[in-house]
Amino acid sequence: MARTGLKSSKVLKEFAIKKRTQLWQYLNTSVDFFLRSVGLRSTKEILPGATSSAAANLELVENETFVLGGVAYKKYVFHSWMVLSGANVYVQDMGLINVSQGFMLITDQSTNIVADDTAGVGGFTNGAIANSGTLLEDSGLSTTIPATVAYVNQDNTLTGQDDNYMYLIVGQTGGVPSVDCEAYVKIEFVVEQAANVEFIQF
Amino acid sequence: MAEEKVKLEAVDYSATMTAPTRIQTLEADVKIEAKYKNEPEFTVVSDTAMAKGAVKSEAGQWEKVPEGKELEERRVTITPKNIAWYKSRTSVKSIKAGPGDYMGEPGEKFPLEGKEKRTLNVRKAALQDSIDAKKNKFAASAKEA
Repeated sequence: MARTGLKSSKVLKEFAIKKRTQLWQYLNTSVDFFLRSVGLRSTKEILPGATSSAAANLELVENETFVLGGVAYKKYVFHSWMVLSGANVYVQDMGLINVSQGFMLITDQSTNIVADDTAGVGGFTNGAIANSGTLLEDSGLSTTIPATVAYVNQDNTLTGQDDNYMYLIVGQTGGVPSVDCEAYVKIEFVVEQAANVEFIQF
Repeated sequence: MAEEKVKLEAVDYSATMTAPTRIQTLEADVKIEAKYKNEPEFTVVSDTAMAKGAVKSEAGQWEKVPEGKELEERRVTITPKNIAWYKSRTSVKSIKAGPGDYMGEPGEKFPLEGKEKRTLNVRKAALQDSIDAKKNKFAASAKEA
């Protein structure tokens, strides 16, 4: 019998540890797979486009569908994070969502706009994007000023009804040199169950 | 030239739809209007309910232009009707006559989805144009205010 250099008890102990590790890895992978597949765990990578698109991510919301009027819909969630600085009007592209069939119907829009107000009331403002109700930082002075316009724009009139160009439009035309903010865009939308959805960034 | 145009229009419009489209589940009313030379208003020449995939005709042929008239502009209005809230997304396409302008040919599809192949570059150009247009519109509305 060949000698391993290890005592039999030590071999058994190492074997047990190895099996236990394998079992743990197996369970961990299975649990992770299960949680991800039911939508309870996700890791979203928010990446910018190659040239102009703001960092964004689009994902199907698993296991959540709607049926209305005999038509089945599935849900997607779209995130885009960005810093807008140095201008007083922004038309920031967030990419294009192509829906092969039917329309892209936005059912929820919960974008947060953050502005530096450290020289004003203090700290940072966090508010919903709401046109003239949106606070922006005034000219890098760390005080805030209301926007003239601020909203999420879905435009499917450019290269086909199925191409939904997504923009964040923010502007202040009260004579200030510039306005700044951070934007955390979150949109949920539904498309027909049979539609293919493609996310294109520029 | 006018004669040639009339000749091109002298075909029957076919409402038989077979080709799949990008809005396959949609049922819509499709109204086609024509504006003839020396007439101030559009004339409704076809107003048809169409079933699934109805935005393109099988032959893509337009209505016959009445004798003695010359077509100046054609307008196609698609009003979705089978799903209630799609109704707010009525699509209107207008095609004007003139040198080099597209007026439709026998066998050609309605250009409702755009004739240009949508490559990334085409979309990128459209994106840039639209960003500029949106900024200009915003600037113009701010001046008015």
